[in-house]
Amino acid sequence: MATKRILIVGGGSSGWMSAAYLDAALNHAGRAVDIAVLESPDVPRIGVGEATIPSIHHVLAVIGIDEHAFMRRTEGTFKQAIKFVNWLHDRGEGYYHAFHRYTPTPIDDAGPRWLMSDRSIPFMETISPQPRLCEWNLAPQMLGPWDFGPKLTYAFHMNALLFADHLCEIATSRGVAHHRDHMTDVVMHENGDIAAVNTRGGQRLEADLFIDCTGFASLLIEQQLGVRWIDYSQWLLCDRAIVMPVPYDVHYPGFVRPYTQATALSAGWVWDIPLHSRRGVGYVHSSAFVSEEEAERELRAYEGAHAERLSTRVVHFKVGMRERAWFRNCIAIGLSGGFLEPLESTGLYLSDLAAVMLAEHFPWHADMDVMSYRYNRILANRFREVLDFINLHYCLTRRIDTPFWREVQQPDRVNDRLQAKLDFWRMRPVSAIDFQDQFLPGQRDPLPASGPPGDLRSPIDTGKLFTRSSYEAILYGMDFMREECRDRFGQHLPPTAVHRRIVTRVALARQKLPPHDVWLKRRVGMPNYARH
Amino acid sequence: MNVKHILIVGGGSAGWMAAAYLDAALNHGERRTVEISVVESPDVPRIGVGEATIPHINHILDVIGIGRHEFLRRVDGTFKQAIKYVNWLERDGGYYYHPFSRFNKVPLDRSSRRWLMSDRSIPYMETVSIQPIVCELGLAPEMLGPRDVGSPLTYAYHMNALKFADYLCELATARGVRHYLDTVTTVEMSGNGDIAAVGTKSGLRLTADLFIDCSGFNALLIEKHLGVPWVDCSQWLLCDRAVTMAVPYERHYPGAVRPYTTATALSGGWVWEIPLQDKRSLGYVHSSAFISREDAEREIRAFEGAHATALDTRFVHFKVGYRQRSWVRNCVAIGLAGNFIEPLESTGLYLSDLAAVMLAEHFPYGGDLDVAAFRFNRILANRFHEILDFINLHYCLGRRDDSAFWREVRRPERVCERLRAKLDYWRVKPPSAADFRDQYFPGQPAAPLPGHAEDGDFRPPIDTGSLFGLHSYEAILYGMQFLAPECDHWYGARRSRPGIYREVLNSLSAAARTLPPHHLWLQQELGMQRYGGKPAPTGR
Repeated sequence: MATKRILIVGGGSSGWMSAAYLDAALNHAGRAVDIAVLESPDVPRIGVGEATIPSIHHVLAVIGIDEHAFMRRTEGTFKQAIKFVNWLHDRGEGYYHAFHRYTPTPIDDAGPRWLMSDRSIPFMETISPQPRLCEWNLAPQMLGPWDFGPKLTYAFHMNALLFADHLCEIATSRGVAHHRDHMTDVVMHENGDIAAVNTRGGQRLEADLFIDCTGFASLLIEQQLGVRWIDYSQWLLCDRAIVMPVPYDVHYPGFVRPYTQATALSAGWVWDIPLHSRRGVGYVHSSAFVSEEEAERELRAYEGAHAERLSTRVVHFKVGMRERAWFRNCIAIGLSGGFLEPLESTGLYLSDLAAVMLAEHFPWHADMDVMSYRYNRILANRFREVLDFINLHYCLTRRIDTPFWREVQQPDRVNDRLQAKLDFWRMRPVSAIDFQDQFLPGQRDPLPASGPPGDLRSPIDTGKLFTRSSYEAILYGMDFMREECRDRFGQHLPPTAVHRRIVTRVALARQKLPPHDVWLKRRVGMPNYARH
Repeated sequence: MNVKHILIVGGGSAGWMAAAYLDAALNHGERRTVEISVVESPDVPRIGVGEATIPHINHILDVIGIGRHEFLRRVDGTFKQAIKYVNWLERDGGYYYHPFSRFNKVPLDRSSRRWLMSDRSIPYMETVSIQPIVCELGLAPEMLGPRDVGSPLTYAYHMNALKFADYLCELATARGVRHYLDTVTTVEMSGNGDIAAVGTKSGLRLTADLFIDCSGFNALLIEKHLGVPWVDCSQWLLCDRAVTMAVPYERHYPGAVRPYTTATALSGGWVWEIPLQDKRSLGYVHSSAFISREDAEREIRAFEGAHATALDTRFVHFKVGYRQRSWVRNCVAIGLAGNFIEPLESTGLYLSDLAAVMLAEHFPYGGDLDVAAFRFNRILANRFHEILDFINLHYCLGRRDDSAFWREVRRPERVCERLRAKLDYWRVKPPSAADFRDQYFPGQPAAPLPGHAEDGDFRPPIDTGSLFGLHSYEAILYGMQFLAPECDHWYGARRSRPGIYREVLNSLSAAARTLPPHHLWLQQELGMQRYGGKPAPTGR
């Protein structure tokens, strides 16, 4: 059966990104597929400041969205790194996970060199200019044309609601149908596929392929098709967030950070995401370790006195993924497919990966089961890759000041795949080849059966998203192997050296790059605010 | 146990590359952390054929610190930009290219889908890469004179492997690697089953912490003393012998030096043609079950032409397969002792250099050898299987019906199950990048490969497509007219001509203006001698 009609149930950033991406990727040489979005006017839209990772550039490029236009429309700001504060100890220190790092050639021995030094300079600063640039709040772009060597890698912060609106506008102008109507029930084929959905407005919307973008409600994939949710709360304890916008009218710190800050609090961490008109902060925490009231108090204390009268909102979530995101003729994209706390800003990424993979595995004239087999395998692998990497951020902490931080270090809170890596890396430092196939000695196998029937093997994480440089950022940021290195290399280690290329680049960047807020005001229309 | 001393048993290109690479990677800077010695028998005949490489060789040269010009001068080197496959689909003189570079700078590469929807009147590779035409024109991938702009073209080299080994030996010994010209006669084991030392004909006893077996198919340490079995893969690749021949330019100079390797299918296998600075090296890789020595020799002489009648030939026997575990206890097999696969994609030296690179990366300074071996073996086995499947692919899509050999190679039992699963899948959905991240497809057997279960790893290796990815597969698949009937069915019989990326057309015309003929570059930059012979167009 040829696939000609797609119905996306649910708007939001997942729904509209899927619509716009699939339209651009599939209908690029004439209309091959009809795409429609059914969006309920009743469902409240949740818009928080959202951080992205550089994969967003691919999505923008395929859809054909200019970067400046994108930043104007979504209140976008630059993001060059994540700064993790108070994750190792609770004493105000932080480390960076930068997007851009230099790779020494022909052998990248930056990690091993740092391990053999006295650690007087943080690892990331020895190999990337971005931690310094972030501390100085500089933009990763010049005001004029770029003129000093390779460009810096960056992603964006943006208002996700505005992004969805922008995508909706683009997609509908290109022929995607938009039904503002509420789904009432689902009509099934005899063979078990979804045939159509009925709406309150009396429409019957048929399609060959249905995309479930209904969020945690999972109206099609779970409520209709009964595909199970796999819970991963054993590895990641947080299940709730308190969010609070801080308008610059109330408090403008005098600068706009070109990075996301993630500050550990007593039972979780706070994201701090700057936009054009406000900062968005949100305390991701575990309801088992802190009450809503305490969490709110803690978040207000984090923000300071000016936060007293700001309103907050509570969001509940569950960490996990759909056993099969693609089942029969239904694909779950967004929260209905899986959720992980946004510590590495992978929320939108997991949706965009799903759209990209669906385009690549589009069942033009094929058996859907063959396409879904591969699609599910790839998505599940990537999900677990992200899960392990988030897990890593917690388990190396030395904080013992609260039950939450003591709990996350417990052995049963560390995934066995991650544990196998950590054990291996205690013997031999992280290197690129470790990410080509990440099956390591001591790793349990098989993992809980979750793949499609007939696949007896656990998914293999091939490290396509978070590879050596990301792992090094976290491991060495968390002071991994401090004692082991002293045992191995001696108590008196030489001072840490910054790669000379980084020294030059930081010096040049300081002359060439404008402050982030200046760039935003001049280039993408951020308003002026008085410093508080 | 701290590993302080490595003994490499056997010279040759594998032995000396391991020596020079490990010395550069482990002993770089002021600190000498590991002592390296090579014991090389003066009695063992050294086999030196013209050898083609893949771009990974550049990593080896960079780490050892060898400049390109110096390298090319010392090893009679020439450039290699592609492999040209002639007569593989039909025996009609048709050909296709597998080049090293291709254009890929758009957010979503739709080139293969566009080509599949076209009438195929332009070969696929020519729509995405300039190298097929650059090769047909016989151009070098570099300009004359100092290069101040980076070359957009990826390349590797052809070279004399014996001279490369000599050059590496000279470099390594100058840097402190010890060289014993002596024959190993005995191997002494320690109580725990490790190798303790080897004894030599002249009465030396050489001890080490880690032994590298570079003794070729002989596998003196890994097989004769540690008893690690060889896993035979001749079910998938039938060739087991080659007859080689050197054609000096003094006898016959074709008027140009091809900037690529040619692989021409004959009745019971294929011939490599590798140009060096002073000769061309030819070798007919064939299956002894399908063709006699005499017939093979006759066929390669006929292939070369009348001037080949008086040239010497030599026979080389080989077996396709790999060591069940290349690293066992304190012994690592590198080179033919570890694995062999016919050189259809020029992976011979690559498998040795990968082993050296992986050994350096997993070097057990003070750690547990078994942990390093677990990963090393897994990585090497995965990569071997990746190459095996890819070579297998070259054979199984042929339509030749003119000999028993070509009818045999496309029988279902000659196609590896992993490859079969890929091909079946790609008949439903043409190959795309995601297929190479984890290559587990519907219908693939879940049983582990022999040998790996013993290491506690019960899963079959997963090919992560680190060497031959989407672009390589597309070169072969579409060069072999894969999906032709399926596309007729999907897209109808009347289809338009293929499009070519504008960037490809633009860089092609720039290349034609700026790149010199290959032999001219070699003569001017390296001092390659001038030979008579009328200039003839390259290609056939």
